[in-house]
Amino acid sequence: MIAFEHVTKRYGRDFALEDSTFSLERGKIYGLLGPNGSGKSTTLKMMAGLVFPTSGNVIINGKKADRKTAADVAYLSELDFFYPSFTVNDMLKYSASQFADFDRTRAEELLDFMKLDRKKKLKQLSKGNRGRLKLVISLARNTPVLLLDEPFSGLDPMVRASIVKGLLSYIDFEKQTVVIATHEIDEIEMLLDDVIAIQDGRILAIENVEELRETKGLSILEWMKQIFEP
Amino acid sequence: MSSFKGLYLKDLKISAATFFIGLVLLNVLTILSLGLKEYFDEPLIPAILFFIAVVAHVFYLPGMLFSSLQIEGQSQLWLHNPNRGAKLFLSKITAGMTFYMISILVTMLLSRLSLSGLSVSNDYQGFSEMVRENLLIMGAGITLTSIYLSVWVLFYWSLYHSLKRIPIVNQIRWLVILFVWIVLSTIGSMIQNTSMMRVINEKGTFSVSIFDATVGQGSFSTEMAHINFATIGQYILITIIVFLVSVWLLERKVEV
Repeated sequence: MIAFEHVTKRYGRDFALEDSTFSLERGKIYGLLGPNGSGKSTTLKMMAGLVFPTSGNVIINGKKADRKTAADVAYLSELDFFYPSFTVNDMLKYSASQFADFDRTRAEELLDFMKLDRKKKLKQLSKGNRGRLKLVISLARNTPVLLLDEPFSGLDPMVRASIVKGLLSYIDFEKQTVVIATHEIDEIEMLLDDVIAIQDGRILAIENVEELRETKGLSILEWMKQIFEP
Repeated sequence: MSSFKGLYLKDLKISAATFFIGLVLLNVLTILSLGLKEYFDEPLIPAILFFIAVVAHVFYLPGMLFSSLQIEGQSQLWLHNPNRGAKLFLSKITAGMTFYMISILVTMLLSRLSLSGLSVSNDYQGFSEMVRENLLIMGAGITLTSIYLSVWVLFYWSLYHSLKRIPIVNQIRWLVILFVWIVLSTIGSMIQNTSMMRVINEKGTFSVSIFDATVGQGSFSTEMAHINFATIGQYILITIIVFLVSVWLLERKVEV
């Protein structure tokens, strides 16, 4: 489904990703975990075909990732940016016009679930509500790959857990590969099948969450502490 | 809604603010020209200022595109799109042209209106006739030049954002852009000076006097306009090549 073959991405002297080889399977939800500047966002952008490796290959569904990968990948950016003159409804209409797999009915359901006012301009929305809209747009697509970069940042902690639970009903566990890069481990721990630890552009470990719990008796947070604070 | 229509409507919306700024500037110019006309008691001042505004429209479309691209450069919203890069660019050009056409037509109308019913002294007869008779032809020339410059804006914007992925030049991208501009300009003038190009340019040239005008004792522009089909062909070819290279960069190299 998603394969990284000796992928390196450099920015100046820094490595966003260094000679990384791994693959992600269909029907699984992955947590991409690491401190700030570890390479999480760049890794997701490479999967989305928005950033190109300095060397190596990123393969999505058997094809090298490029701009056209957007047809198979729904990508939620960590950036809090929207076209300021757009209303919520404009954003939905625009997304529906660009992506053939955009499910307008599902988008309407999600808008109701997220309690977003369709007529409100995006610049008038709170950061949290803009975050909700990003989730609506990503989850309304029927894509084999769903990439979420810090999807819960800006969301009110009081509603975060309920939103995460609600989102489960919009993920196709049979067909979709979901990769979530986040710091908010607590709320998404129950979602994750596998976790990927990344630091300084190096993939430190990939573990199955159930095995972690059963064989090592560790929660994801405990495992992260072991990995990142040796 | 088709993907192009979606892109076009989006591009209209994100450039609307720039368009309204242009309209405000035009209003300011109208008020200013009327004020100067009264102050200097010179009825031709509005016509001259509106004429300058018409000519300045050559930078309208490139400016509009640059502003729109700068908005897109702030996030991945635009580039995370399965449509061809050509479609993304053409939508921007079409949206920019929509605003451009409104703006230049309004300015040309103001320019023409400012001359109507005006008895012009002999000193300004040449300028007045030029505006009256050749404004549309000039507008067409300005529009084509504007499109040509706009394609170069697409190219340099794409190149600038493509250089981000090359660590060694990432910090000096503006210098690289300047260097590329100098190199391309030098190559262009070297090609123009070859004997083959001189022969091509000499053939099919015809002259028109659309820019022949005098103002007072001085010459506004006394040169004849030389129109050459070979030159027009070269510019069309350059426009197409630069556009295709820009699309290639956008699809394969640009990172924002």
